Amino acid sequence: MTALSTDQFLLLNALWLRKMATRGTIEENAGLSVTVAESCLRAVTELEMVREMGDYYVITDSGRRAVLDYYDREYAGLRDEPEILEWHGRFEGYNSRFLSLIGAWQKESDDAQERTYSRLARVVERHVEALGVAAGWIPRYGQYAARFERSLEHVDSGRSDYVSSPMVDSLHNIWFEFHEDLLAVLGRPRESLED
Amino acid sequence: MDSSRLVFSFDEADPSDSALFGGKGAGLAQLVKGGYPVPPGFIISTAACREFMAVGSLPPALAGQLDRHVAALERITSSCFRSASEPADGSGPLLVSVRSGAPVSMPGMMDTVLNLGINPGRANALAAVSGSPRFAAEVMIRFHRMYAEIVLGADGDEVAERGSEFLEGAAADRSEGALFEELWSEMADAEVDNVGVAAPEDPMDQMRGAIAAVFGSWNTRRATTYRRVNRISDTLGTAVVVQAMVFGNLGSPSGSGVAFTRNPTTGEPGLYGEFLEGGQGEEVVAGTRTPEPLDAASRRLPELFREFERMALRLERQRKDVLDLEFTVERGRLYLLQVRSAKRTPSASVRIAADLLSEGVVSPLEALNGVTPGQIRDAERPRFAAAPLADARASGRLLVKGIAASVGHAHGVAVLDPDRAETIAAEGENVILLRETTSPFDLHGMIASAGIVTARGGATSHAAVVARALGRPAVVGCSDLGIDFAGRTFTVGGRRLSEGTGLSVDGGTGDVFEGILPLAEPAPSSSAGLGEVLRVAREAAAECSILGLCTTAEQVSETLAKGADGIGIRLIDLLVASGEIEQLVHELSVQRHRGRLDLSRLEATLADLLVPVFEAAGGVPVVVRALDLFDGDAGEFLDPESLLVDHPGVGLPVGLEELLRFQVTALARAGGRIPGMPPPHFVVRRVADRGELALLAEIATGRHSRQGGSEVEVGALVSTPLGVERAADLARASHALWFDAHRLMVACSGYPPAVLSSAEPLDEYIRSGRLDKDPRLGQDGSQQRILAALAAVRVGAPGCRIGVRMGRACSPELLGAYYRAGARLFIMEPEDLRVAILELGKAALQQHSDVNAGADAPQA
Repeated sequence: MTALSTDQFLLLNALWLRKMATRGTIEENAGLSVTVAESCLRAVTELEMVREMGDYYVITDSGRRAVLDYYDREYAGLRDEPEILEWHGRFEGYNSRFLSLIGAWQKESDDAQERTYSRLARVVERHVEALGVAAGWIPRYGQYAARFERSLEHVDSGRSDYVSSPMVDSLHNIWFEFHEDLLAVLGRPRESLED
Repeated sequence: MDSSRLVFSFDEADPSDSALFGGKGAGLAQLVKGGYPVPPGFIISTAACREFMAVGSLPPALAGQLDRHVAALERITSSCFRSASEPADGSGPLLVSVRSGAPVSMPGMMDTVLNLGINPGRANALAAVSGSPRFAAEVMIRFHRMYAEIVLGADGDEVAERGSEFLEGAAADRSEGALFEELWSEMADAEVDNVGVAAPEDPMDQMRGAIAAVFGSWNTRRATTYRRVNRISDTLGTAVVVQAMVFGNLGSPSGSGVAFTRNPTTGEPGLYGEFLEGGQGEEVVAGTRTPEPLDAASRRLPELFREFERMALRLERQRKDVLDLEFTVERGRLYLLQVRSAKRTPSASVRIAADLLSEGVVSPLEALNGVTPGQIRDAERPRFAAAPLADARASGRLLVKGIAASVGHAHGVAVLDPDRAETIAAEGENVILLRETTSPFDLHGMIASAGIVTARGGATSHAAVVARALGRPAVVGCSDLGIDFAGRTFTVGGRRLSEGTGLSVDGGTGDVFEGILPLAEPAPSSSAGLGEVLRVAREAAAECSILGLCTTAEQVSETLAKGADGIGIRLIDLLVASGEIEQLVHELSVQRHRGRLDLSRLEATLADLLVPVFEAAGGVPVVVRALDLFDGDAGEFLDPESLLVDHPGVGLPVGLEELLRFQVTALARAGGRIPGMPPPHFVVRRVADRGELALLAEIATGRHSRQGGSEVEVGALVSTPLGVERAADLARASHALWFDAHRLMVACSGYPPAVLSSAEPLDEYIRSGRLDKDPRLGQDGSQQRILAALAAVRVGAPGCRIGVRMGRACSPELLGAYYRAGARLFIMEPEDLRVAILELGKAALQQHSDVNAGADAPQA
């Protein structure tokens, strides 16, 4: 099995997390320049790790295996680091708050939603700060911070679909992808290689 | 008013001046003026905020004024805030809350810090008065959580967690004094770890910190963005409300509760709520202790609750709305802590509007204004018919119960795979997606499905969040459900069922039934108050005729049952739905080189299509829109450019005479077969000249005199700026002149129709300041010219009625604007009918009230 280059991993990982995405989304979420993304996409398509379906790309079984292998190889050393574990512990706190707030927000009327959203935004902002710290170990985490910032900005200007809609790069979408990513870094992905 | 004055007690503030005192402050001032018991307090005005923004710190003049008002508060409550010593009578320490209150409600502002004034010494005093050291410790933790989060910018939850952990671990034999000291420093340490500073112990320092934080929050990123998008001035500033805390656990009788003036779920009249004797408000909200229903509490404390009920109902009449009240009883004294309009379900909202009207609390206009289009649409949402549902329950077809994750009813066949769900749904079948859990990989399947069921996961699982965002009914976490993905079967309690089994999902109760339960749009009578609300609206807009757009006879009956006064028909829909469009396309193509088009072969076909529709209409007015093949009508079947080469006349409104003759003849033939049918009204788009009208009239009368059949009235459907300009002239030659609101919007803006009929991307375009006025609301210059043309018709051709064809899901604003301009005939999509009745009722009553107000106003 061919090991992935870092850029190839970034590209494939963005697709693994999104499951099904257009070229534009993959490029943006991977944080790669158009030309680099282009050549990586070509390479992984030739390796049959990615399949093209109309405007979308999907990841193949061998692609998933390659992504999870890369996580194991690259991050095995981080998994026992107390700093990382502590960081993860703190994230789990944010995570349960984020999820319960987003659930509450979806069920509330407009005026109550505002208050809940303020709390939700604070949790996201804190998480963005924490991502800044984590980017010291895992540089690509800076990309999540940028995506969160962008979506917060959208919500502030009135696009409430950027809170939880699966059709846009909503806070919930980014959060879900980040959580998958983190679990994979820690060696306990929801989706195991045997799936 | 003395401009150097920055602080006002509640009874000094002017309730009408929310610019100076903010919405919250003005509301409190009003309650005090009305004699309602609220905990005493004062307001720091928006002027102080403006000074704060100018100099970057609290205004120097504030210190002395703050001190005087705190002193007054100490006097009123006979307790103390500033000094460390406690009053001898044991009435306890004074704690206060600090809240923001801008003149307009705004997101992103700091909201509330409670329990200011607490510190280790005060905690001792509070423990003594309440008899509960635990309570005093919780007051302290709560203060730190909020102060850390809001004033210090630390992670408040983390600080509070450290406090709670310390409290759990603290040895029981520790003296109270030591406990409070240590608890305080534990949380102060957490704050220092987090942000480098800790909450101050001095109560006045706490207060100043919180006030500065409120003022500072005026310029948070969120607040600034909100003001920019909503064009709210940055100089408005926010006020600050400082209010004494009252506690429901001090002495007896004490307690806290929440109450609604009517049931917020059903709308049923009568005080509804809960009371927790000896408890704090947050315990009621958090559900940590179980409160008792209000009527049980009022049996024990009849006098207190009689007073409360009188107060609540008086407030409801004053505010003309159902209220949500938070209250606390401290040593037998009742205080209102929060009064706001109650959150309610759509069906409650409709019932409440009808009840408030019949009780004489609100006027018809106020009642209709209490109902939104969304609530009407919700009341129309299909749900399981009652009898089959009861039957399914009784006959044991309730298959499994899970967590109700996303409300609504849906039925369909069970499918275990998102790809198959998409395929089967594309074939027109309703699908219920059944999954162990979901991930983004299931998204396409979830979108294609009518409902979603998962075996694992809770109310915040991916499936639940996404289903709610997509508006799909969903039940999650059905732990009795086993899914065999490979075998395409699923099991429930030992029973094995296969993919394709019919299921019915109730996302509001968490029930999943076996079998397809019929879904039906509820009749207005089944939704309390809906019939009444619509009747009031219909009566108010009695001058209006509201027509529903239909294609089939079945739709006609449904539309009339929904309250339409007539129907609209687009001939293109008839041809497309029946497949006869192919025939028309064929004729146009084979006859392309002939000098004169002959469509007589199609006349009988079109007449046959019209007859059942006319029959179902049963004598109500019928408006028929002519084919407009050149302009978007038959895009899937015809290329407009080659059509234009084959038949150049089609590019002009009445340039292809034979095409019009064929339609008019078919109409007359069909009409002739329905005894007593009033003449159908045939309208043609893009018409802008009386010469065009004359040709149409000649076709209609010529045909009639030659061949018999029913009469056909002809007219213009104005859809171009040229038509708008000539509207008054056209009207002088017509009984009725129609405007095509959506087409006109397209013509004026040059945007594609689809952009104007959906929210995005135009909403975002307007929010980001690219476009000043939203064309969909009828406010921009070109729309104003259209509305002015309607007014000119009204004046210049008083005998001519004005009609509008509104686009799908048009804005209530646009509908109202056309009404005010003089339109009295409306063609709506059937699903917009009831909303149109409601909104036209509002517009008519509003116009009536404006006219009356104008008559009452003194002449200038």
